[in-house]
Amino acid sequence: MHTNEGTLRAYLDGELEAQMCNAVAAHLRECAACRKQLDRLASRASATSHYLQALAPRGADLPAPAPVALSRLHARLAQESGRPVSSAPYRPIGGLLEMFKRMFNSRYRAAWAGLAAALVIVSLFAFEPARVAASQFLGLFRVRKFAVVSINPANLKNLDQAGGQIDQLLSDSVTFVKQPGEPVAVANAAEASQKAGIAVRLPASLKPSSLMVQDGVDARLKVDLARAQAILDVAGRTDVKLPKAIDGAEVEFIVPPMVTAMFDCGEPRPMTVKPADGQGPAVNVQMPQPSSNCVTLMQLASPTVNTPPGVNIAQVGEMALQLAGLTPAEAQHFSQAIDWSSTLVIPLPTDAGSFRDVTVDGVPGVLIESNPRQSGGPRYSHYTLFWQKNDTVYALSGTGDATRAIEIAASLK
Amino acid sequence: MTATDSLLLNRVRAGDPGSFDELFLRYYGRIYDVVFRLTGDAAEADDIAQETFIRLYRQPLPPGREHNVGGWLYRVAVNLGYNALRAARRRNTYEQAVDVATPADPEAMVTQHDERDRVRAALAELPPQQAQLLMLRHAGLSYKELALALDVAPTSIGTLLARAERAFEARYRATAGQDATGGKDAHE
Repeated sequence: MHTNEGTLRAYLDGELEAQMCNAVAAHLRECAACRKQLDRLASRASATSHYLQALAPRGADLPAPAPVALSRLHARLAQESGRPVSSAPYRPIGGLLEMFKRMFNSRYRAAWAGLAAALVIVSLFAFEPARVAASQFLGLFRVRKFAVVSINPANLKNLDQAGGQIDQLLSDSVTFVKQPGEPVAVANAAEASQKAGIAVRLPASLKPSSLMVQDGVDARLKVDLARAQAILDVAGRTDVKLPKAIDGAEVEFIVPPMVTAMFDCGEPRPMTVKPADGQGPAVNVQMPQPSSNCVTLMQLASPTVNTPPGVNIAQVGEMALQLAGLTPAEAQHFSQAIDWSSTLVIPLPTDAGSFRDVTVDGVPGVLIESNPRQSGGPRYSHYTLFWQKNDTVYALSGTGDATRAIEIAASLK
Repeated sequence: MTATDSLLLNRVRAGDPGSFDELFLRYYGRIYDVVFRLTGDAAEADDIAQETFIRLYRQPLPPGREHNVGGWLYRVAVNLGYNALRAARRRNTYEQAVDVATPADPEAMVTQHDERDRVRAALAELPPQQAQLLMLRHAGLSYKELALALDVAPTSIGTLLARAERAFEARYRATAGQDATGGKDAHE
């Protein structure tokens, strides 16, 4: 008597009781017909499995992170119970913080350093992305001045633990209207001025070892409040409440073309920086040769961030500062001392460096000096000097003594 | 220590929203996966996955069934996914039928019917229980879980599965069209 099909099929899957399983195995040793039947069942089972496997989601069809899906479920439940909530559709693209994270991520910093002087400082200090992600989505209308906020590095650990979720905090929709360009070598200040649309200034006595212009970026994003709050909740930051007014807000982020002059840096090395996750554009950049005398001067028209009316930038800013580890009282105190619409806030972990206000190029500026790193970066101290003059933002960075930077800045013409 | 599914479900019944969230976080990815395989549409898969959890939220499993939260979620999701698949195919058929002005372009038809489409077409033509069984087994449910999910005796799963796989193979070959070698790759 042959073993029936169902029993053989269960035998294949190891789903028979031990006694039954032994009996079937014994029968199969004796019965060629049942062995043949078993082979047929096995190949059909494996073919079916192969076809069903082909249906698995890939790429953009992969599921959203579960916390994100959960936030949508909550929104849906609230909506069905009659409470007004956001129902912005989810789009699986990185958010604004993701964009900033990319800018500051050590893997991207070379790329973005060529684009946004106002944002360069953080990259020069090679901060961890989460350290800086938090406080950079401020409604920055135009950079007029700089303010450094000291961040307790211990408080940043929470952010690190929140990991990949923080980077999707504010939005899931970033559209690049204009992708970052490639750096193009130019012959002199006049050509650079023409390409970048600003009056490029260079030091009187120093000839640049390289001079380049890189096209800017125009990116837009839309804020999904329910999603952002859900991610914050999951990250354990239920204390941080996002202002309702930012929900659905469309924010435009424009970085104009940037001119980079390097002095005593030798021939720049070309380098392609690709996003680690494969999303977003790869960027070609020119990296300076490491040298103790190398000084880099970047200048560009002020980056701008356009936020819709009704968004209280100070409120968003305070929230960001809290996320970066300030207490609500500290955040409020700092917030009241600055004009968010014209101040670029630079978060500086206290273990990464120190800062002081300086007069540079005849205007107020800020000098940030890094602590020498123990490992994984330059072992000498690094400085960056920021200032804004005539609507152009300047960043001058190098290693060693910052006095030289102030002298160079004073000699610009 | 991680709470078991049944502990979480008991808490859901007692009105603890945190436990519901935890079940969601635990199962959402897997539920989405199995639904997407059926519908092939990310937005629809998400929608159906959410609907599945909403049903659990509205009416948590009765006492005695809490040990099988995963099986229940899978069954509801596969049911909804299968219905969506059938509905989509009916829509397509209708659209093709009314679109008399444009004769079917054989080449376009071929590209449309790539392997994924053929697999879904074959699934859509199976009796619901067979399609559900294949999806659930492929999702990794044991015979015992399958029996619970489909409300059949555990000893009958082997027979039902063998039958479903045979039916699927036949439908797949049929949807692969006149290609006489259609079954060959089914035995790779």
